[in-house]
Amino acid sequence: MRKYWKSIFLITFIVVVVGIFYIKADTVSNSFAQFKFEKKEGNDAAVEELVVNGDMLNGMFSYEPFRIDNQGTTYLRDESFIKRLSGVYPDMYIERLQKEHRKFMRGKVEEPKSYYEDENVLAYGATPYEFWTADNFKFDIAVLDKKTNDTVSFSLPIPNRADYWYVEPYGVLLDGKELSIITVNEATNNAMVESVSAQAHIYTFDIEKEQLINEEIIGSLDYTDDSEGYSDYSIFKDGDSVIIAGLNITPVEYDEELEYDEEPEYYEEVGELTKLYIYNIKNKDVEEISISEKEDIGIPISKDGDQLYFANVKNNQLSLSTLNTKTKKVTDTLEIDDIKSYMSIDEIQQAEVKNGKWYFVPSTQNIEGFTPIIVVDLSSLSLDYIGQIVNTKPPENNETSEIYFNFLELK
Amino acid sequence: MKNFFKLLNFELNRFMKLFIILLVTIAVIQIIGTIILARSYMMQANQAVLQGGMSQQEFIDMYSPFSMIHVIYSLWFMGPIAIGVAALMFYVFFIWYRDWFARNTFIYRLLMLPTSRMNIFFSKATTIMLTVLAMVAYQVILLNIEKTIVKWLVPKVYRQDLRVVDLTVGSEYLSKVLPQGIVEFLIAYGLGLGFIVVIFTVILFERSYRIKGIIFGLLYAFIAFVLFVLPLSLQLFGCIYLYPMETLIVQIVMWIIIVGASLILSRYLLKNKVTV
Repeated sequence: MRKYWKSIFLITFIVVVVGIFYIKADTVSNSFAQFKFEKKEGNDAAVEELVVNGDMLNGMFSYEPFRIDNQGTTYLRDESFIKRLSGVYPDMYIERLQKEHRKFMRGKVEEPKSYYEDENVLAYGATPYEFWTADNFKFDIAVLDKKTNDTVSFSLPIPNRADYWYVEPYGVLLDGKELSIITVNEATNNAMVESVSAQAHIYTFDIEKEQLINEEIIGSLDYTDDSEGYSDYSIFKDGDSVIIAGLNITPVEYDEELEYDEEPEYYEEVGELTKLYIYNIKNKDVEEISISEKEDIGIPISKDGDQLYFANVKNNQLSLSTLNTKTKKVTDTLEIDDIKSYMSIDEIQQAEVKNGKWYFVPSTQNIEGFTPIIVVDLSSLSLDYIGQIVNTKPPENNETSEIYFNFLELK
Repeated sequence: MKNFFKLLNFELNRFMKLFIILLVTIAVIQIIGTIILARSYMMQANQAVLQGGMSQQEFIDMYSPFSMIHVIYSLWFMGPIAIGVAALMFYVFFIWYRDWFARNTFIYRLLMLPTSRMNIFFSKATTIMLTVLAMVAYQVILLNIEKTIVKWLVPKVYRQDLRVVDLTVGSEYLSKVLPQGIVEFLIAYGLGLGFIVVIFTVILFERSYRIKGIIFGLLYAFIAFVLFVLPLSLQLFGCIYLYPMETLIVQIVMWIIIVGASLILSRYLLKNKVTV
């Protein structure tokens, strides 16, 4: 035994050091920040389904994704090996679909807006990007009958693809045997001029005949590239309608004192509604809505019958409005003041609506403490919950960590 | 088994002197580097604060606090690791060729031992794996020593303390050497073992068929590589789609096939074809 001491020592040294290293690595998140939701007013049940995804950076170096729900904080490093495989938390909706319809979901784009789901059907429509060209040239369509497990799946080329810089999908609709994909296409014919021609298209496919049966422009989203800001689109479906909004987004010009006194790396963006259309899925009508107060109303977030809901952020104030689409009048408003957070208009687009509740958790770091949580009951336009994310375990020894709350999900 | 351990101990003894020199070189360069980097940071801080009229906070805001990040991304740290990796890569070949080309053709005695010739193969592969893992464990110890040196030389106000785990997970390079979890660690070093087994097979091809053997060996290594990356490549080009866990299982199966084939080939070559 004595003559093997070098081998024994080497093996013992490896096992002990590597073992201790991984035991320590396993408990390292015990020293990380622990967040929870802290209510200021409202109903605790309102945040039962809320999940906030974030990242913690230690000295711009160590990157730790985490999730917060009403039970507390979970770091990705503490999840099972299988969950850690992709290096990020998977989208919860896609994760559920992959679990329930593993065969159907194989090879499909992991983007929630590429799916339509009801109790009978799961439909998929996407324009996947090719590996070699990094561009998209075809529609991938698939429909799963949940009852029989029958699947229809086919691909078709995007018509006149060369006429567009890009064809970006924004949603999938299903009406009987017709599946529609909504896209925003930017035309290539005006590359050198400031005016950019973009349109919302709807491509409709017969899923029995596996054919494209209709292509229609349902909204012009042209904009002028004046270099001061940029254009964006907000497109979502709600019930029998698709709401298509063109936005002009510009950065807020701070006065010098605020810009340098606070945290100069953060800045706000405000959005101005430039175009608004409502597409009726049943009768395939498009209505353009012109709003006189459009500069202040913000961007549409949800629709319920004739009521179209808008949200806007300005000067640490969040405002929500209800617009009657028949009378074109704002019928109700809710203003939430003194939100201690840098907020930009794009964060409204990251908010989620479920069962008539609007969930809003701004992603940027805020001025004092952590990010606010707001849940609004849209039908009554009243606050259901207001609170914030708090750190129950502040860093020891002045350790500096940067915390980012990226986006929210609903269980 | 006893014969294997005897051979393993023998191989480790042969490498030990060189290995200790390597470890000492790595430690000396890294520790000197840590001292130089910490002292030059403090010199810069003292100049800015004491002579330049800057406050400590202004200096920290401008140059960021000193941490082990400064050390691990410097040539003082990466250089010795590169030397270590190069030395071990060299030794993967040297561990075989020294037996043929040293003063006495030692391979003749090894092949004549009354034991399975695969014990020679396994003892050499285990020697390489043990020295690689020992170097990794040694680097963990060194990181702790260097962290302590930084604590001695840089006052708390100018310093950001990071755990060794944070350093290894956060660093693009160190995370390859010490992955986040023990399962990832086993996968990474399993891959390393597969690589060594394939290289050993290539060496045995060369030793068996000389010039022609180089071609056979390279061809074999190429086939093994293609086989291993095939599931990933097919997914990348959109030919198949596998869920992450399925990809891992397929890769493990590929690894078993490649390592198994390499061992069978090596056994055949060692038993029937290798010439002295």
